Amino acid sequence: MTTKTQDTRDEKLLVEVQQGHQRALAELYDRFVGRVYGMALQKLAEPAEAQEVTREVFLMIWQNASTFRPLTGSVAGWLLTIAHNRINSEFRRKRMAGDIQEDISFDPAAEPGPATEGRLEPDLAREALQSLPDEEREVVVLSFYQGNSQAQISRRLGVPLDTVKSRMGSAMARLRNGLNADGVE
Amino acid sequence: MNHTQAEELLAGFVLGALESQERQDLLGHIRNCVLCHILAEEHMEVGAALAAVIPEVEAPASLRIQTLAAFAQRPVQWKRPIARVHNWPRPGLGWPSGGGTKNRRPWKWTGN
Repeated sequence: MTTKTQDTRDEKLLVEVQQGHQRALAELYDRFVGRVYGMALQKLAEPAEAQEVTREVFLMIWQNASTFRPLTGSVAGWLLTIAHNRINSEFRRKRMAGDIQEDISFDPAAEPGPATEGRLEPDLAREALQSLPDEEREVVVLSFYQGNSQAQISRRLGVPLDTVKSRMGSAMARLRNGLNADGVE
Repeated sequence: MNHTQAEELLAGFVLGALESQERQDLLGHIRNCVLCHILAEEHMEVGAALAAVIPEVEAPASLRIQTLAAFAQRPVQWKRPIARVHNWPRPGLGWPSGGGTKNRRPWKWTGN
């Protein structure tokens, strides 16, 4: 995911942010905004809305920076989970309101990887996803990449909610093992 | 929410698939449960890896200006000395409530 050096730098920045250092928050913003804005744009499609949610996400993060106390995790994991949940919530709110009509067709396997030597993080994640049983990969794609809740997936697939939860739990365990085996920490 | 119930929700949480109330209940549990805190962090690392598949997009410069300006307008909420403000059960993830400041834990000054 991230290197130890990056993690240490991120944590230092977060401490400085909670002390009110604008330079630190500017650097933290610069380090993560591309990923957060990319996620927002992928779900919400409209640049103006993606920007609004991105701004909200960073304010949420800064407001809560002082309560980040990792035991084993990273700032990146924490920050991107906050961002992803906020973006998914906004996506589902808009879809329920009828502001978004179409399903997201994003397919992680179809996204081209960069032409570089060696395997990068997106390649490792794609490989881990591809290694999942079809029914588990399906719930990951429908939720994480296409913004559906567990209840929505249950209805869409015509399977009990508990089955969706079970598949998600199993998928996450496999992904964790797969990514750890590939050296992602 | 007990530990087993929380553990069952962690995958859905990191995949962004929980309803709002479920998420709030889970976060409330995580703040005070070391085991779930660690498990949540492990799941979040997977979430960060999944997010890496989504292409990064360069945000407009105006967004940076607006966001930093918003930060500058809210100094009171996070310009706090660090060492003297942690006065609730540890560890706990700093999860936004999603409802502004009304659901946040109160800060308690323990120093001078």
